[in-house]
Amino acid sequence: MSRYRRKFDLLPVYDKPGEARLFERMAAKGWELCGGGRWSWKFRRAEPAEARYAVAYYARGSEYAPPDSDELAFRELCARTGWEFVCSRGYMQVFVNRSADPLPLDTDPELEIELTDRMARKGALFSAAALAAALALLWLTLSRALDDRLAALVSMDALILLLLLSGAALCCLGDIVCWALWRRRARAAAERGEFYASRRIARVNAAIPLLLPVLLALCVMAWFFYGGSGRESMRVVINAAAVLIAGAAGAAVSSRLRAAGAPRGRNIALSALAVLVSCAAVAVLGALLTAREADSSDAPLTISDLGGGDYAYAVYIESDASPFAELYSYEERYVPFGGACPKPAPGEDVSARLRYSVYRARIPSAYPKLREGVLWEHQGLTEPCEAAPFGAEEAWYIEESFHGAEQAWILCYGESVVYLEYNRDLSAENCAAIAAAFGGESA
Amino acid sequence: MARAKFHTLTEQMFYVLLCLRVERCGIDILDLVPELTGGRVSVGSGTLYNLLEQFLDAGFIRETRVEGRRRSYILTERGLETLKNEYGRICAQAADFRRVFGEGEA
Repeated sequence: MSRYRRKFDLLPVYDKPGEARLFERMAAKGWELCGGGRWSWKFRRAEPAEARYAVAYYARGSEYAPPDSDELAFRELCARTGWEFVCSRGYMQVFVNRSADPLPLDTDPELEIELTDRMARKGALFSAAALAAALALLWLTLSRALDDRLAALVSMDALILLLLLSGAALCCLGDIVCWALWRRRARAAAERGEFYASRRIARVNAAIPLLLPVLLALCVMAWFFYGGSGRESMRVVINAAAVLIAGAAGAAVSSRLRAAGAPRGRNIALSALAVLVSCAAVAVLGALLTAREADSSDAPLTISDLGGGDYAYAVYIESDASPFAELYSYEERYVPFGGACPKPAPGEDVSARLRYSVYRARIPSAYPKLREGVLWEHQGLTEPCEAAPFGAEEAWYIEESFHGAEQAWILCYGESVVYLEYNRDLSAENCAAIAAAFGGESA
Repeated sequence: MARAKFHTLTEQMFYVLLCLRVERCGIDILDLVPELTGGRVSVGSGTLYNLLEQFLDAGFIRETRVEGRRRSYILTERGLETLKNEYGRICAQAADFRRVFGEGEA
């Protein structure tokens, strides 16, 4: 059986009685508090004991610096009334008293509320700043999605960003509302000479941050079930790992430097450096692991399929997907510089250029939106053309598209919409190849 | 509505200032307040530490000596004035009580 155990601490800053209750409950179960992590408390096995715990805030306490002489003097003063120092976490100082009916650490409700509120206000200000940032990003993301509905419909990134930003904004708002409620009630209680025990508000406040991991889990599930390729999934996993590894590295460096008595400034600078270095290392590793040359072997249609010769053109492939729709973009062309293409043989024609995007609906109701979106992007340029040669249900021809292509087609296949540019005239065989590539049957 | 800071003193503020009529350190105050009040009033260590800090900031007390981690304080003129104002307020309250209920009730 493990001798140590960690418990995550989600209680809000103002719930000092809640923290004390947790330590007392754990002590009664035979788990004695022995240390504090950034977001957790560490307990060790001990004989079950009845002990009174109390949390005090020492405003100048820091997790980046060893205790100063005033902090030690404060602990000495507490020891005088039987409160032994157990551990600290930033400005939080935890004390235990083993006598049956000890004199509390805080005996003046007004002063206690004032000091606790001072610390809680910092958290609320941070929440307010985070809320403003989340709302600004949410507005930007929403306006971009509304401007380019087609891209938003096929983008898992946009969906995940919207979900996470909404969750973050809700969490921050909940945090501020709970703090304001606590503050009002605690002040009223203090004026009556009472300490305010805020169990319900604190519980709600503690539950709010759980929304984020739930949303995150939903996003990860959505990504794996509906998202892009394995390479993109790996990118998501690596990004998540980067955040965790960077956080752990920063905490480890900070804790070691604090134990070694390093000054606060040096501790903060080195911890930040550790976070940056580990982030960069994981990002580089991730880039190396996920780097891959564009592979055209899975492409439904290539220049070669359209009879454009076997020259090795440069290929660019992009894909994206959401639970509603998916996008596959393909571009094949001659690039005369940078070594992307082999040197053409004398007289070899390398002027063919093929570019297409396939929007495929994953739910039936997405198809009309995709069709409408693609047509809207080229409004004023399209003219209906014969769909039968392409095996499509509907077809439009575009002469000189916005992208600078000489000619392009929009082809609708019932559940997918294809935007295709090809700078050569299409023969009947070419149309049949296009029909075969995108699921139709050439007539 | 919350009262203005130190406009009136809580019982614990009053006794802490009272103890500092002569030079004392925090531990002395912890022992002296229950002694002065016959155990009726006690000041918690956390409350005392924060009160001393706030009184220092407000100029009610000043630091006189530092021996290791032990710091001693004494009341300033300003602190004495605040203490006297509070005493006057309490006396006025007591006088009002006597006027309403008479000496016998008090």
